[in-house]
Amino acid sequence: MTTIHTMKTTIVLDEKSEEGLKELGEIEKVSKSELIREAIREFYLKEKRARESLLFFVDLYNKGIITSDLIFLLLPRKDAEAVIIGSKTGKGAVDIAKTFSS
Amino acid sequence: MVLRPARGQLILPKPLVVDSSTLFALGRVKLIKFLGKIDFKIFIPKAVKEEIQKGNDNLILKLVKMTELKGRTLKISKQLEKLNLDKGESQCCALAFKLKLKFIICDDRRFIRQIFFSNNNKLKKIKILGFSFFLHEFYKNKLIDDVWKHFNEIIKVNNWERSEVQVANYTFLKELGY
Repeated sequence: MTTIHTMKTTIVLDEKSEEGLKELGEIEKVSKSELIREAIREFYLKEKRARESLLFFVDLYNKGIITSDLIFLLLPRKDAEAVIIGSKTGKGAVDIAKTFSS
Repeated sequence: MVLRPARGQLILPKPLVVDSSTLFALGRVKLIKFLGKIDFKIFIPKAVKEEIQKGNDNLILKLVKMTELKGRTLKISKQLEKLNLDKGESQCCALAFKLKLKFIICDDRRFIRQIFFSNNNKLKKIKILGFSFFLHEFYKNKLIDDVWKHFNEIIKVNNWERSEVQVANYTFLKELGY
């Protein structure tokens, strides 16, 4: 027997999100609830990727295998920014350390 | 510490300007004692000393030299504060300029972001090194034998997972071949 989990909630959207939701509903021919569920699944996956393998993505980014655009697609915004900003900062420090090291 | 090479010529230890964020981070994992065993003289400005005093870590203060900013250097630090930088980091940058250094050692996430997004020419010139610079030096001086163990511990103890601080220090160590 399948158990169906339901949670009803009130979602407050701004004008832009409301328009996006309506437009996506028409294009994808799915309900608003399904679109919101899909958005949550996407966000959950991004969060899981960042939590479990952020440094793997740092390596890929530093080796030029993935671009900053792709980093933003794969990871939550906060983590994507950390990768891009931290990577630039770390690389900038290397030259200094090489010339300044004891 | 003063090194005396074979020729008899004196070599003074190189100066470093270090922010409280890095000093506290090393203190929390009991690595701060090694600062006295590497060939650098560590300078802190007054604002950083005050932060350390608030943190009640007297061992740190024994290992560093406090420099009070005066005249033009103080003026530069005030100008940097007007750019919304914290007082400690502003004074560190001004002190670095005075010592003709192009970098400071700092592990403050907010400061790293400010430098990244800044359009200010003076700020853009400053590079930021992190605690991993000291791990590198400790390793070279055979004071520690596992850089990554200490890296992971510092990141965890300071709640720096998934932050600019973690990525910057990780990238630094990776680029140096660790």
